[in-house]
Amino acid sequence: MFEPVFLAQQALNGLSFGALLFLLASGLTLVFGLQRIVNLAHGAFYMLGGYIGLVIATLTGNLLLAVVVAMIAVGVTAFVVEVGLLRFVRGQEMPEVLLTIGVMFVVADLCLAIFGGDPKTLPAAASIQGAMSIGGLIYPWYRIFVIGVAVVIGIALALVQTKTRVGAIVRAGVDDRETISAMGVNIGWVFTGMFVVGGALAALSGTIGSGVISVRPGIQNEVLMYALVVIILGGLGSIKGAAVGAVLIGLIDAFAKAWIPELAYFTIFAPMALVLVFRPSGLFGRAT
Amino acid sequence: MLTLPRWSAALSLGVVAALALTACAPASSEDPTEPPAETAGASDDETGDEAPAQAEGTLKVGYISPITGNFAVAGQEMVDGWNLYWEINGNEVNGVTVETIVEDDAGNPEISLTKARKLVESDQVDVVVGPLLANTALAVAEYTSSVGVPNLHPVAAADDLTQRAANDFTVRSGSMSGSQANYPGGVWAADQGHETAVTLCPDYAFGWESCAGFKQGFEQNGGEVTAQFWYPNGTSDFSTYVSQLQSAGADIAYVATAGGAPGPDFMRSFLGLGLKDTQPLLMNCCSMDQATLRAMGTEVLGIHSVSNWAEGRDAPEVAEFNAAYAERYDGKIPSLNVAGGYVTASQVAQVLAENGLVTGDELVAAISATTFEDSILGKTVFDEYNNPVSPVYIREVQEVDGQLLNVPIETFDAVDQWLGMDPEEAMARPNYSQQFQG
Repeated sequence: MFEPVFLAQQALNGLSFGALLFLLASGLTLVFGLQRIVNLAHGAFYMLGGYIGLVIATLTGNLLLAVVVAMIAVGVTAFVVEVGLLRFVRGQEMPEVLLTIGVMFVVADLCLAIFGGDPKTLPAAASIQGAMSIGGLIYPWYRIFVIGVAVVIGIALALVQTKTRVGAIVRAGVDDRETISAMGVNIGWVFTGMFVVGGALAALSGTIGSGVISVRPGIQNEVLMYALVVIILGGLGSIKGAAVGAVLIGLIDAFAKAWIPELAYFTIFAPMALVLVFRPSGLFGRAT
Repeated sequence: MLTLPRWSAALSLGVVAALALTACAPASSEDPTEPPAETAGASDDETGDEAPAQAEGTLKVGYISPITGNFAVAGQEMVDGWNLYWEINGNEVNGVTVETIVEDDAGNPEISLTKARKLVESDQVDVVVGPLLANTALAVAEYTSSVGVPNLHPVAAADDLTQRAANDFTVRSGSMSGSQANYPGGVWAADQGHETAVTLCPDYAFGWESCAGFKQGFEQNGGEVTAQFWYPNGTSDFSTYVSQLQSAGADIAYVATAGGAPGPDFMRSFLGLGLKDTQPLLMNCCSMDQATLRAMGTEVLGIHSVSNWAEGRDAPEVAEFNAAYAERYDGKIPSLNVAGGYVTASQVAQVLAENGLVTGDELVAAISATTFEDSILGKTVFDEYNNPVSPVYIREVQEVDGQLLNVPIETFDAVDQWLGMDPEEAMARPNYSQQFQG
């Protein structure tokens, strides 16, 4: 339980699961940061993206194509949801949240009707085969790839947020919606755009994630719960918080399940509860 | 201004309440008059069992299964297996028509119990079949036996159904107890020359029983289980457990799941670490069922598992069953849940064919006294606790005519539920748990 190979493997297990959690939570936290609504359909977007990605990956054997198609398809779905539904209740917190719950049910049930109830995982042909081998340590390339994707997406999101005009508008929108719209920015379309990006990120994590955990009925609730825990721990609306929260939970989960198995049921929630006690706004959240 | 709406709200509440009362009143006043008449009829029927006059010609079956919720796939399969038998063979046997009412319990014991009451009291069924999950099965069996209605279990694995809670009205028709089905797995692993084993099972009754069965089979034959790991229900990422299995470094790893996603999710992590060639592995029934084979494809070729159902067994009855199911369900191959439903129907049919209409504990006694030679599960008889004594197969995933099947490579015939003990000794011990594995 304390041999170097075991420790290294567990660290990679935790990091790669954390990477998946980050991909999953980043879209949710971005949407929340700007629009102040918790999009409870986020898990259903993950599920839809996962299924679409799997279909494309099975047909073509090309993971990149699968990811792109899934992101576009779910992005379009998110666009329709935002423009066709959410717009009509904008600014009313309760109807907004309830509407996203409704969307979750509809999307999840449609997925069950279309894709069936079997658990589905990324076919070997589209996955990244083989394992890395360093000394006695063997680790699958695919999970290292997941870590890589999370790092790239994380850096890209941070750069867009801090270095570009779009990022500036979004940050301004987070701070003060009235002023930014008075300055001639159509904040409505910024909201729509961010919602679509959030959906596309969910689809990305769904497709990539299907190589780690299978997509099946019920996955929408499970991943939504993970995402909520991560963004509450990291601080609502903060990308940095989502990254730190995801890695923390991934590592704690991996090691606690090995060393203190009696706590296996709480490893996801205990860190969140502790942080909430001492920093109610989360690690990187801003008290409002 | 404020008081007006309140008044109107109170008023409308009052109106609703009044309506509800009046709507209920006739029903509840009717109820007391009706049941006496009906129970009188029923007791007439029971006392005059030798000459069943009123119910002759129909066996009314209440079938409870979780066809919505988290266990919807397994629950639907259990229903499909039952229906498939009657579709193929017709629902009339020896002049008796079998009528089925399906009820959904969503996997919740309280709903199961409500549905069982509804089936018995208002639909007046002759027999209740199901439900699927252990806790729902125990709840329904306790109720049906208290009112003298037979209860058949196509899938439920809880040991106690046919042990500490056994009775004359409950029979485990299509499945085995959790420890019984996995005990031969341990025997086989020891026979293969493995000296140490590590186990990974879900952390609740089904997992404790499965692991206990494997462990006792293995250790009674000279092996030693060196480490046991338990994962919480709802685990998706198995990598941390696979690392622990690997680190335990035992000769063979035994892994159980209750079906669904954990099978493919475990295999994803296991294969990812490249353990397929280095770590011998034995899975249980449900972690290597057809859903896993469909999800994983040829990656799981050669994986071993232990179960009382083997879809790749070379027998005409299995081939016929597989073909009939595939024809109706997009070419799919039936799982243990389908087989359980189908077997239960075939047992009911055989008993009706041999005895005519039998109900109550006579139905259970008739099933329990019959030898089912050509069951798709293999030759089946029942012990005096109404639990099957039938084969358990060690299976290997093989490609047969382009289809992935679990093909038996070794068969343990006539496996009973006592793991080499006598019944009193076995039932005097505590229930299996993390702490007590036998």
